[in-house]
Amino acid sequence: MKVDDLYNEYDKIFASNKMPFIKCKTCDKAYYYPRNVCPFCGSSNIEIMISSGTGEIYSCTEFKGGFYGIIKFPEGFGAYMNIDGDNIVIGRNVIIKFREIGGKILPYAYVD
Amino acid sequence: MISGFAEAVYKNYNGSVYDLMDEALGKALEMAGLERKDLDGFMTTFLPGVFDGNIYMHFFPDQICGYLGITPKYIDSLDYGGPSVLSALWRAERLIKDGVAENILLLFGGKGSDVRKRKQTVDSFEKLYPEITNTPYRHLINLYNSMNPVSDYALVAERHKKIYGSTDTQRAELIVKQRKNANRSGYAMFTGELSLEDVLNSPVISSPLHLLEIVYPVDGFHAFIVSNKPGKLRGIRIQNYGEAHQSFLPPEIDDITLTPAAESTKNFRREIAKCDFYELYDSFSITVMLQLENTGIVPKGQSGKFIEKNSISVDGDLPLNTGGGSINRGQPAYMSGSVLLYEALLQMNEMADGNQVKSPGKVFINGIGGWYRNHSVSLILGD
Repeated sequence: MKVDDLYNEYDKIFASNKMPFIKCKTCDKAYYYPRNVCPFCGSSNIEIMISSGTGEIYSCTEFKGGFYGIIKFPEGFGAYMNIDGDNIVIGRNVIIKFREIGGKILPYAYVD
Repeated sequence: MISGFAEAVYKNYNGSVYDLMDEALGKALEMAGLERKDLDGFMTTFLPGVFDGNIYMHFFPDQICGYLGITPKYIDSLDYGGPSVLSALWRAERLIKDGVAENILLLFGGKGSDVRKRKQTVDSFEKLYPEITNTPYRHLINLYNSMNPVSDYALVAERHKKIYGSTDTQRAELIVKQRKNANRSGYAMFTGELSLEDVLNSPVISSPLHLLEIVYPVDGFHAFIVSNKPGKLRGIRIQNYGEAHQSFLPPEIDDITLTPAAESTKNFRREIAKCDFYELYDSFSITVMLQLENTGIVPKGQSGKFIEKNSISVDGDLPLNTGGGSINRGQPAYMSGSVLLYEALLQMNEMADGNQVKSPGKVFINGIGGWYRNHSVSLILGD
């Protein structure tokens, strides 16, 4: 799969309000940032999967633009994203929602 | 061996970046007793925006050598930010040992104020110039709220608080103690009394980091001349050396409080403990704390308590960032490596006047680059 194909597939999945990730079928590791070769083992035997869409705040920071952080997912991958909701602290569970950011539909984390 | 070293650092330099290069080079040559024609090697780096606002300079080492009137037979450019100059020193020593060159000029710095005045950093310059790309992952990162590199350092500081119980006050202690060192150094840019309250009451830029925990980008160059003879200086060399690089993003790292400094020091931890003083990269308060832990100077998670209890002055328990660090010198062109090396050389050559480390036998220097997590260069200088 070419990297542009991965991005296009991600965009389609975002548009249906779902959270994609990539699973390496050789080493079984998961990652989010699109690479057509597994960064952990070098295999190109990869597959785009759909996450449960829930995660946990690994770390977060507040600044003028709002909250931003690292979300870790039960499937074993992590991602940066904006965080919304109340009581945003490390360890809180989040659900992934979608909105248009800078002209693209992108995931963000929401503390319920 | 280093035969000459100098700096030309200003908060806001009103002129071309080439003046700054010339000034640093002229002073270093004078110390070394050399002329421009004696320089047969050249090493430097480039970051967007800090060479008179240029976002890119084609064949830039040629442009610099041409302007400065240097005709090297060896040229190199290292491109990993803060610690690049430390790697350049190691490479230059080896090139000289191999007879490739006799006098290699390391010229590192730039004019950071132009970028600063536009309210960006070199790590967020893509917000001004979409043609610059900082990541292969484009909109999956760039469209979010990040304020790099500050927000990424904030994420690691927040994680350190949560996992190890470090506090805002402990980080502020480090800043206050480095300021005391700066007040004694005689050449810091930011001096004067500074209290814990001053640090904790300064604006939170990206929680939990306060304004006074963040290095200030300034204008300046450092010139180091690495030669086959030390000239008038002490004949010090690198005794131990390690560099480590990793390119995973923080979301893909299991423990973001473990930096490449753990890897770059793993072969000489015992030697680090025997050093007389320490210069650790201080882009932010948390950067110093991570290195104290990752290099084995302090057990993991204990840097906050250690800083509270110990003195870091030249006559303290652990002389650390003895000149006050780049937090107080200012960070020339968004890179602190040269500030660390310059202070180490002042101390090693007993040129630090009233702020002199007693019997400076060996110094441990650690540089960090690519925010807190991509690059680490570790070395011990001694006879």
